[in-house]
Amino acid sequence: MPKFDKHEEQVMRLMFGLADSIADASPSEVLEEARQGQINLLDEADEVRGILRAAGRQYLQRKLRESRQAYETAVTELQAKQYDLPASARERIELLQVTLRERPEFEQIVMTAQHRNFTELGDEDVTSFLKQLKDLGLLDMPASPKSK
Amino acid sequence: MKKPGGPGTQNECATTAEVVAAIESLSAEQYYRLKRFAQWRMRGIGRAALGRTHDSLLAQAAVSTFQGSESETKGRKWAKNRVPFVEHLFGAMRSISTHWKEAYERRGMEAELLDCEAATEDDVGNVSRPSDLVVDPAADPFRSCAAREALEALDNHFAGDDDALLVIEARKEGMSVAGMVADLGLTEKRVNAATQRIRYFLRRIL
Repeated sequence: MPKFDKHEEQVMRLMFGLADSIADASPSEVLEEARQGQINLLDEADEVRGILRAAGRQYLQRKLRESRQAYETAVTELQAKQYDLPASARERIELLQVTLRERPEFEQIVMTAQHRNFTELGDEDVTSFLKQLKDLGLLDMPASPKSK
Repeated sequence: MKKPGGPGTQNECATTAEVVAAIESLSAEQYYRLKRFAQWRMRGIGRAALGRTHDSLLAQAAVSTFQGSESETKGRKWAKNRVPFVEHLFGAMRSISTHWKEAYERRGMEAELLDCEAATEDDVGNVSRPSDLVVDPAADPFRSCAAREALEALDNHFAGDDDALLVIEARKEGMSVAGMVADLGLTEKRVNAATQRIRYFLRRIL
């Protein structure tokens, strides 16, 4: 068993008691102890501040890495999804046109101000808009557009 | 707004920015006090430290506080209006070091259970035990010996210093200052003075 034996338990309680005594000591007592031990308080402060700062940086960087990882996973999943869109660029833009004609309110959801003119839209934009509508569950039309 | 429990602004938890500000605003004396506290706690848990140092304890207390500032369920929340930041870190270090010690002891007990229940044998008769992969669960005679020697060194050094001997015995049993004052007939001043002498001596020999 890795249990502490009697002596180790006693030493542990003694050391914990000394830790508490430092926590409860008056500032003057702590300063006197540092003086007696010829401790440079500024060096000590730098060391401990450095440890606490590094811990904070490490924690925040890990959070950032996790967020980045989550974002990249979402992008990968988005790219890997099967969207069942029309095969050609011409059919895709027709599908978008039909969709927006039937549901003009979608235009505000997917189209930004600089993309009001269909003739200026590249296939990449059209495909992206269609995918967004699919993801939102708003594109329940067949892959091949049927013009009215 | 996150609350560690109970209503009212007294329990309002610090944000990440407030934790950073608190770290930066400590005085040199407080940083020094934190370091000494961490050192005594780590000496206390002895072999259960498993290579960790007072730096590890300080860092873990900070990380845990940052976690608590952003999560409802993880880390330790600093109730900034109720507890001074230094006191919060003392509490975090107490809890973390005690957890390390208990986890160390549990680890060996789990190994023992697993050993009898989860040993496997392959086709050619080689027995594989989970405990082969974990820490040696036997008591460490070197650490135990070192603990006994430290206690003997204290007894020898303070022979003739009745207050210090009383305080050492009381601390070994986990008594508080208030308990010593109530039960041992010592004043708080004498307890603190004796404790200071013990700290100075142990710092020299450890």
